Amino acid sequence: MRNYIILLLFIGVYSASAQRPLSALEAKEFKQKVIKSAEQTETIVSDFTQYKHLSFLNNEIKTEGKLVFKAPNFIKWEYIEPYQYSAIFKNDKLYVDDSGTKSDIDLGANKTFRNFNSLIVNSIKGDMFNESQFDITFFSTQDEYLVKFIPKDTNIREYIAIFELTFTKENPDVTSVKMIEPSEDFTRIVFKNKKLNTTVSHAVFNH
Amino acid sequence: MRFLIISLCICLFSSCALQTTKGLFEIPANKQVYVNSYFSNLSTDYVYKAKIEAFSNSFGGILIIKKIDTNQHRIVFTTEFGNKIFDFELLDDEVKIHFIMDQLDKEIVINTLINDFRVLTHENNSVDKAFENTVENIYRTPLKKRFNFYFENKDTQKLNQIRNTTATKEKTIIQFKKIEEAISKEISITHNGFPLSVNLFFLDQ
Repeated sequence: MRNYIILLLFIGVYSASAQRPLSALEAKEFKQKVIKSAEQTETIVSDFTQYKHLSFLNNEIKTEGKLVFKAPNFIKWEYIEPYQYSAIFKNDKLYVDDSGTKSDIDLGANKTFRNFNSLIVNSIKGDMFNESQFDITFFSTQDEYLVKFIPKDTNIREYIAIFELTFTKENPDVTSVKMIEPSEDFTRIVFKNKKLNTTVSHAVFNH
Repeated sequence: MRFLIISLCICLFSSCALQTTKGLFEIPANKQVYVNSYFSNLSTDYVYKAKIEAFSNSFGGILIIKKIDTNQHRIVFTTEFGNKIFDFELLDDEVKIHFIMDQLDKEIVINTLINDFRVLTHENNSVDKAFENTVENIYRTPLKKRFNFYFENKDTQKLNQIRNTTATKEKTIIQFKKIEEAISKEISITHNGFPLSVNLFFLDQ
């Protein structure tokens, strides 16, 4: 009996974490839904929790903040706990306010930052389906869809080996972004209280 | 002429004299090993918010220091978004570079960073001379062709600062502030003759 219960538990745990690859047709339908939703997304306001996993640490480093996006490419990442730091991407520039110390970086002049900026915009909307930039594979888990993006650009791959985005099953909404480094250390950003297409003032992006 | 030679000698010797020991009195050392215990707990993740000023630019990040074995520390610096900027492992005289961003992969930058973090984290340090002033005991320890001077408060016996020097010049000053439960909650690192300063603020997780 005890062995039977252990077997049941094992099957339960296995099936909860199992990843089933989507068929080509399922993947195509899912992708179309995400692209359509991303095209209709004018604004996103969301809380987020960021976890930094380093293999040698006892605990993940947890930070919390707020994300505001406004089409076509205005983004504000604001870290609130355990420190105050905000980064605003607008007009090809990155404006930083580090607990009152302000600075800006010209993204146009920096290819790495420019790529990073477009990756951020696309990942929070979910639309990273550029097959010239990524090898893309689609999976279904018990609760979510999981999409893995392997960058083709060797420069990006030095920093990030795989991007993993998860989406709710009901509507194709990004619930988390995981950036896995070649060392297998990773950064995972989990969105919560996400609101789409609410009114967002331009003043939010003032520096 | 004789006056000129004497004056030149005075100038020469005074400019060669190490600033660090000015006004200090040499005393017999009361310990053979000075222990810097700020990064010595194997079960503590030392995570700091960093603010850096370098060559008139300001930027920030997260500095993570972890003792992973005896005399062995892992030191990782990331952006606030979590992207790694560098990842070093220090073990006595050895250094393992797990990762460094292309833009920082320059010998002078790597050597400066490694020297700073070695001074900051080196735990057991053989004392070869000792000094005092009215409030502090100072222990000199040789490290890699340089010296570290550990300034310890006489009353609290807490380490206030480390000064890293060559035989004649002060190179790096590390100051420890807000010391609570064997952790320095604020640390500042400044360099003489090199425009790089770092301020660290401990993040309670």
